[in-house]
Amino acid sequence: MKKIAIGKIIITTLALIWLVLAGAPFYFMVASAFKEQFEILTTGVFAIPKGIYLHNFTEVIASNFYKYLFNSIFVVAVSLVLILITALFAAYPFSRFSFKLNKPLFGLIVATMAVPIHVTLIPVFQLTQKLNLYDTVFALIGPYTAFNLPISVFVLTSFMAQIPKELEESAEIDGCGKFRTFFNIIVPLSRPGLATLAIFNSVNMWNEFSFALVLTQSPKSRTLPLSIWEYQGQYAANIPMIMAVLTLCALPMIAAFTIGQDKLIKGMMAGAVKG
Amino acid sequence: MLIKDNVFFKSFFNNILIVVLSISIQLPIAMAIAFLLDTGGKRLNFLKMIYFLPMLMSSVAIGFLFKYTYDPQFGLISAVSTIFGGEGMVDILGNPSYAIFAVIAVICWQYIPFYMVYFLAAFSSLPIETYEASIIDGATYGQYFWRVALPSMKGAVKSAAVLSLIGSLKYFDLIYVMTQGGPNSATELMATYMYKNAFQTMKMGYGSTIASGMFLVITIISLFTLKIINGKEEV
Repeated sequence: MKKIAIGKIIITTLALIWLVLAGAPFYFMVASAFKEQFEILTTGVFAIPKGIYLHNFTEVIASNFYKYLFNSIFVVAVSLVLILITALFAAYPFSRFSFKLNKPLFGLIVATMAVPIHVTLIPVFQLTQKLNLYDTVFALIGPYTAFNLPISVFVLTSFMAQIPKELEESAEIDGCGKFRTFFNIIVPLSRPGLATLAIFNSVNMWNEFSFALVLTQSPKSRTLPLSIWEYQGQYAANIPMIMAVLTLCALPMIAAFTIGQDKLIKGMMAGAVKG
Repeated sequence: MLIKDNVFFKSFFNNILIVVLSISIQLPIAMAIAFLLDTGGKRLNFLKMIYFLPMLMSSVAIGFLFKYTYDPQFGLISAVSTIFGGEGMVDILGNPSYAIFAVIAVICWQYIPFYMVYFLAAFSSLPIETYEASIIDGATYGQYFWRVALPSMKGAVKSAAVLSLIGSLKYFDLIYVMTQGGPNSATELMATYMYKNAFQTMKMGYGSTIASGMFLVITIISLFTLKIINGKEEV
């Protein structure tokens, strides 16, 4: 019995330490966001804000914040639709049809998951310039779709392979064509898989940084993660202001997390099939 | 050019350092927390929520957050050091010999929740009967963990290690935001070095060379590890 106690004490201490470590920076962020610029100097970083001081938030929102937010939503939405449609059409033949190139093609798609995106930054940058898309929101849609597609096809193919074949066979016997089978049976049954993919890809693209940094330059076409960059140039010494920006950027994700905790966790772990 | 470039080698070794420290710090801590959450049951759900928070922020936001946390004048670390009687003004990111470790600490902070959830899923896929049987047979929690749970989670640990390895070789966002590879290339990584050459000094050609070198290194290391891991499994 003693052994249980000792082990428990150690592990509980660890849990508490980790709670402080995981929570302290968040406290620092949110608490500072409500402080005036010089309050942080006079009262110290741990102090609870004197009052609800919202000026930081209103100033950030007044200066272009909606533009960044709109850009992020636009890029994520368009890319997500493209990814899901393409993945659906690709996963169906990979999971159902037997043709000679099935395995090699699928292997090729899986292999592209291992390509580090930073290696492709230079060619993608030059391609974007040649296409005259540089520094527009449209520049991001191509790479985002392309680099999230392999994992999506992979996940969706294994999902579709689990849908019982008998459903399709009976539909075929009843005189249902291939297209109708696909749209009326396979697509509705794949909905849970699509939901997981939608969450996984949205989170990825919402937080994406490298391509957004390289392919856009002016505030009118930058996304939310890059907005932090812009604000930092503007308010370099004003820590509460930066913290307000960070809080606002983290807010949509935290809201999504509190609404659909388990779904979000499951969706975010979909990428873990890699490796 | 690339083979004679000391900075590239420096960045390669920094990458390797991150790989080694990531795996040896993140996985054990994540495992311990996951075990606690698994045995603790439902009442620890609020802990799980707070633990998961870091995963919801983008790397850029985390980078900036910690840049200010480490800030010598206003940051959290300096404030803590004054509590313990220090003078404050601890400039961790400006010190070449500590900067890389400070950055690795942030990387661990960001990714431990991921592996925690990963291991938690693996724990909950273990059949409850083995847990009950070992407790009835008089095993302590420690014995259950070391003798029963851990051996049956070998697969999960291996894939977590591979994920961590491949991720560590590609780190970019966080380091670029926090230190830009400085001071004096003390925290330079292959990816940041490539980015700086290609897009800051506009040497696209040399940038591409570094990118190719990086691709080669990552491919070789990943194939090698996959071979070792898969080879052992088949025996």
